[in-house]
Amino acid sequence: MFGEDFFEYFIFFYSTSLIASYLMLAIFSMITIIRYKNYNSNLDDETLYNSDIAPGISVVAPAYNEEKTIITNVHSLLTLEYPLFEVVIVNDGSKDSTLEKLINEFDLVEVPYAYIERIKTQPVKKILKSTNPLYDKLTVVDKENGGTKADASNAGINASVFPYFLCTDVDCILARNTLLKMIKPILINKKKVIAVGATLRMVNSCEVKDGEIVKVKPPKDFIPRFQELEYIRAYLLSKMGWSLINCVPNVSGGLGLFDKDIAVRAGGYDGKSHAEDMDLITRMVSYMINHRRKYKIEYIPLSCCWTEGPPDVNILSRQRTRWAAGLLQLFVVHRKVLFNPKYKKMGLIVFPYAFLFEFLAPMIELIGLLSILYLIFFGKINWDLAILVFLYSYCFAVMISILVVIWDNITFKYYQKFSEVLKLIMVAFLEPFIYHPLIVFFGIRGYFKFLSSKELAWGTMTRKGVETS
Amino acid sequence: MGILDFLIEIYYEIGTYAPIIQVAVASIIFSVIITISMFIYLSVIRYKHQKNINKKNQIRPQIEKLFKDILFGDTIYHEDEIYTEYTKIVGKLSARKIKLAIDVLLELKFNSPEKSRRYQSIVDALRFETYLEKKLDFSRGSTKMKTLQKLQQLDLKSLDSKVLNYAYSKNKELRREARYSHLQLSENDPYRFLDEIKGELTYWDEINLLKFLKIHNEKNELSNLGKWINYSENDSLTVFLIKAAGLFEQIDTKEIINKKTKSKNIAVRTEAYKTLGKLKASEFEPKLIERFFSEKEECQLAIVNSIGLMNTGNAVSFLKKAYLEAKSISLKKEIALVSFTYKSNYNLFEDLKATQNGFDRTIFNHIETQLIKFK
Repeated sequence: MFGEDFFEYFIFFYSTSLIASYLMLAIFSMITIIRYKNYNSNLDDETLYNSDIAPGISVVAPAYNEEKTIITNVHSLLTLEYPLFEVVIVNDGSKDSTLEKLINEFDLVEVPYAYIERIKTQPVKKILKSTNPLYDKLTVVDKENGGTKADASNAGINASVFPYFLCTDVDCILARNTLLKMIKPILINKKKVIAVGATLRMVNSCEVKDGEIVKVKPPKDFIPRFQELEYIRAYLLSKMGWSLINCVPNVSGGLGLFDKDIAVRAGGYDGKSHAEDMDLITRMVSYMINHRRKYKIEYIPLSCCWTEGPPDVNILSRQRTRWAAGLLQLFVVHRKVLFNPKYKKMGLIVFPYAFLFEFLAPMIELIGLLSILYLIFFGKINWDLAILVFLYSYCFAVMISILVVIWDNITFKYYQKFSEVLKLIMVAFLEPFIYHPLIVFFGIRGYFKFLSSKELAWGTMTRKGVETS
Repeated sequence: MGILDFLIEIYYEIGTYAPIIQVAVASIIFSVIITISMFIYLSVIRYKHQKNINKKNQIRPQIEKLFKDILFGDTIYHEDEIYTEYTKIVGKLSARKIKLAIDVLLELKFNSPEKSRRYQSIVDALRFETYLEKKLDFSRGSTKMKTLQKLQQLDLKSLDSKVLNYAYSKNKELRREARYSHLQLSENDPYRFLDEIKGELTYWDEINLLKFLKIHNEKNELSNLGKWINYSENDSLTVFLIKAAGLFEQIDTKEIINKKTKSKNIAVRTEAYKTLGKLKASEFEPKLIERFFSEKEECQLAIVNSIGLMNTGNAVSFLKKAYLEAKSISLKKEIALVSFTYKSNYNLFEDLKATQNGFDRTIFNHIETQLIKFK
């Protein structure tokens, strides 16, 4: 009896504290978004674009078996608007024709490159540059497969020449002004900004021309559309909210701008990590705290990157299993940070929050589900109470999703038609029934795979490729 | 029984339930009300947005056509005519319509291949000044800041005194923008705030300050930066001004910059060394060489870079000695880079390259590979 009461109260307080944290994040994100909207303008982009002293940025994009999308996306990266940048593509031992396609399209030849291995990686086979002056910003690093995206990214960082690097996936399409928008928080802050993130969205049903998004549309298929909503919520509500109090847990591997010096000193990405983005931020923050240096991690509320989301449940399963394994791995590797006052906000807010509400959530939800099944089976369930508790979390989840759709519409109206916005709102009502249970299941599976030491792949995703007009 | 009585009854009934149920019910009611309100709000903002877009799409091409005619056409429009023609398109003049006119004018000013001397006639005819002045007087900080940016873009010098009001604002973004605007728009004392900059400059400050100094430079109105370099006690500002003097090739500042090579601050010394090279101040080359071996690595890199830019042909033996004694890869690379383009009868680059092997040899191969753009 005591056990049942304890469990009921525990679940209630757990969900109530989660709800309270979301409300707090909603307020925080509103403040940061309004502040960003008020004090940034397109004139800033022009000023920076025409500046003689803008700092250089290296765009680093690892590629593994990306033959379907590589050409369009490298073209897209080369047309970014910024006064001083280079594009470093790392071919991580692809087994398909990724490298051949790059060589043919961009007239690449091997060059003697003074490659310094500041971060340890799998051996680099060769470095290629284009004989066509149009592509003089492009560097291709061909290396042996390291098994993870982290290892490939590290090789790209080693080959890069500028003080900041933007890490992205080669299947991502970036907005032309991404670099102009993302570098600004670094330039404007007196405190050292070690990383900047921005919002990612699904490219699945968008219109793409010459490697540029010309019309943003919500994905037609349900799985990517659920993810579109999930991403907007994660970026605009969570990360923007946390950035107000400098507690950003991670800067996405799909799109993140980093201070190279700090990233290298922190040891770069962990080549064995499956949550390389959160791992890198943890290392960089730990480095800054250990060296008693002040730091900031910033987010901007703009969607700068469009990525091809898993189009079906099988591919989603692979992706989320890997992410979940990565999360558990992170807590194992950086266990000394958790609840450790030495690591300040990282140890007392960021890690505990991620541990309680991200890592434990799938397990608690699974236990809850099993309890309900047990109660139903033995006819002990109080249906009135069960429905009430369900509505409690369901109504709140829908409210939060609609709130982020509003944030999204306030920052920039990416969808041209209201009917497209409605399509996104519709999935907010369906998400708790269809998408969320899948995510919980994949999460549990990821933990299980990590604990049973089953090998996880590079994070490859079967791609359909983007239709370009 | 009315709805109100029903709600009151529910309220009292819920009061008898367990606290968990009370919290859950309150939360559900709260979520439903907020969700419906947000949905209505979203519908309204989308509706207004669509209406604005439709209206703009309808009248913007007509405004563009009129402005192009005024700015680049053969007919000279009088202010009254501009006003009449514009109101014929948009109807009665309102703040929103003036804002639209400003946006179209700026679009034409900065993106049109043709240039005109008649921008001011549109500014005067549609009373942009009055509109912007009101915006400066009666709006919140962020709007004021964006208004100041419009003043800069329109180059409206007449509102200089208004700008000055905000140069000491408590709002730091507004204060910063007002000082930038003053630097561009003031005709009496544009550099006044250079003396008042306290603390470290951000990169963004440098980019903006340089932008406005560039505007003065293009009009041949840029003052000699030497006096601020000489007297500024703010090292961060000194570094920036030295950099600016180099970019604007202010040869007269070289003596002052040379003094700064003795500064205790490494950043000041580094920038001073680099700038002497940019100014081709070759008379200081022997001193730079003399100081090289006792300097920190950042300064050593700057000295080598500077000697490369001076390119006198007299520093071959120094470069060779510096290379052979260099321990860091960055310094070796910088010396190799300078020796590659160094003008001299003696081919230092090939000589050094011939003696190297392994990674050091790769550095030389890397530098001489034309396909590698960023060395």
